Amino acid sequence: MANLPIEPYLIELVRHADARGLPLILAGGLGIYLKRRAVARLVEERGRRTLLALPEARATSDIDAFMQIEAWLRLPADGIARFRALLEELGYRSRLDYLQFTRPVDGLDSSRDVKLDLHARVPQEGERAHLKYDKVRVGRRDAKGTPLHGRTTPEAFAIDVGLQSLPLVGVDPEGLPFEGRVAIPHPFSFLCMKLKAALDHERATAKKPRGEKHAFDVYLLTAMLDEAEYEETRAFMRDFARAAEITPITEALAELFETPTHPGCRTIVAQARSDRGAPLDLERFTGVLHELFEPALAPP
Amino acid sequence: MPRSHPTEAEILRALAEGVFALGPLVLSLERAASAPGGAGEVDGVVVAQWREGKIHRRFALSVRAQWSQRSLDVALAQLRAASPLLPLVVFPYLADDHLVELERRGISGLDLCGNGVLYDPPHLFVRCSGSPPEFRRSATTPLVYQSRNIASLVPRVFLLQPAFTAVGAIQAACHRRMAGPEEGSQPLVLSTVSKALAQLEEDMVLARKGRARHLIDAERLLANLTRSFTTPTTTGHFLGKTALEPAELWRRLDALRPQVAAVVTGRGSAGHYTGLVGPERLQLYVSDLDAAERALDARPTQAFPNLELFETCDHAPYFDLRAQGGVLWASPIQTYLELAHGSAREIDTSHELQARLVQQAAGGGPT
Repeated sequence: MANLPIEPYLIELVRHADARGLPLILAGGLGIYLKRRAVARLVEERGRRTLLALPEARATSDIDAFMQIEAWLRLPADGIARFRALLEELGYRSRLDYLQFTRPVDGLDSSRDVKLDLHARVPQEGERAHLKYDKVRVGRRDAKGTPLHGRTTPEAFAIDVGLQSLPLVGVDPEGLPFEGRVAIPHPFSFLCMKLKAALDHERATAKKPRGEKHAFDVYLLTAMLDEAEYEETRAFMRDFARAAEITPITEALAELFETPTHPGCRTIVAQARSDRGAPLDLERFTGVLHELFEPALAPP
Repeated sequence: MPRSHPTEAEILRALAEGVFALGPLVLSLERAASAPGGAGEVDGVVVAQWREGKIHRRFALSVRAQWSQRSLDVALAQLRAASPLLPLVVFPYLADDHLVELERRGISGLDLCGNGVLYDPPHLFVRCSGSPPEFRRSATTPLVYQSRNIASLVPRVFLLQPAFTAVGAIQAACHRRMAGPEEGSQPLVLSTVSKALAQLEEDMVLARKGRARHLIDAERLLANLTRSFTTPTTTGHFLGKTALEPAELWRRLDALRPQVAAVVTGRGSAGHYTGLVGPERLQLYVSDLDAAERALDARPTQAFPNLELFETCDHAPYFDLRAQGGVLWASPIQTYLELAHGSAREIDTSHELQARLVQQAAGGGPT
């Protein structure tokens, strides 16, 4: 898999965020793309066994990131204000309500701007003294002057558990070499987010073509699981089986991925048409998905 | 529905009734005997014509109701003794491997389904194949080789011990090597063994001297078993995971015997006999799926399964088991047959095992 044009900007962001003690969790298509690349390398070099043969990952030009909740809880000067300053230093400008930013790419038109979406999970009971949130955004109560928000993402309820770390090697836009790591969500959390996104897409009356990627990402995330991740995912599922946020996840399973002929699987097939990668195994995919989420599907 | 198997008289009548074609050739029966199989005479003369009749060849005809090496040899000997014409043998159906055999021996042959080979080097060579049989399968695939039939244990035992003094000794040798569940299944009785032997003699893989039989063509026997092999009839399937260590797993399976039989599948045994790396999970044939599943504390899963069970009460998978280190491996014969019907790599590896089986049958050592 090739390096994406956006990777130097990711390296730049990760390098500076790490240096300021504000590590990011890379989610979205870019996180999946990098994981797919790392897993393929492990399969080739160390014989890692994946659950299914790996289809190709979609290329992307967006960065979807979470700041760890601990960073939100720090005093602004050490947390979000510091991160806002970093974004401004790197040339990011707020495009939407201090939760979506763009960074112009030198010499290229604005359609090639780097887009950064910041997300945050819903604050838990003990965190709400410092954080405010609504359906759209999460932010500090005391961040007047240097606001920074995360898009409220209820399905990211498990974003902090079992974080994984991927190697990130390359050069930043200035050509400075970098060799480090970037955190990504555990497959359990990734699956919850992508299942919900796929459900939102399928239920939408006016479907956006870009939304079809979510069902495919569910397939890819499942395919990449190794045995340890599979067992961890089942364990996390048992822990969160009765969480309120699980409801849309189980609805997504029933509506979209019950069998290989359900709408989510049809979307996967349509998405895979242009893919020259491994053939799909939807029978096993749907079977495993239900095994993974079995504790939430069982009656209480 | 396939037609019933025609007699030799019916084949001759069918040939006499019409003109038929094989590729560009037009064939007709010029002269027919009043009844087929007459001593010292041919069953007829067939004329093959092409280029609008400008060129033609005549063949001495013999009709045979069933393909076998012996019937082909007998027909050929009769034709060569009775006529100077090129020999042509007609069977109800010729499969691809029959056509290959005819070609190898330079004999012309036809069937009633549109397959055949006409051979008169260097002037004529026509081969037509691919037409499906119009007759019942038993006409072309003797039961004795069909792996789901208990009679197929008889040819298998000759690969392990190439000579016997009497039919009873063959039956006893089979019984000694049978480990399958007996309940509800048909035992291997003496009459079945006798019928199997008759077929094996007809196919010239065995020779008889008084009451004794000995193997004369291990390669052909193995080829016939391979051609007729089908995977065992499964009545249940389980894919899942067990936390048991191999020694404990086999101890528990052993405790189920003799009520429940269990053995590693042929494909799963590949690594035991060859350099091929077998399936990642343990694959077993078991005669009682529920009992085995319970005994092994297995839970079903499609994710990273380490155990796969196939429930079958066929006899062949449990025949000639090899115990080593507490594990029951499939017979090398079963292993060879499953590999020979597997992936390209497995087929490739099966040749190694095939050579060892043939060598062993010829007295060249254990497999």
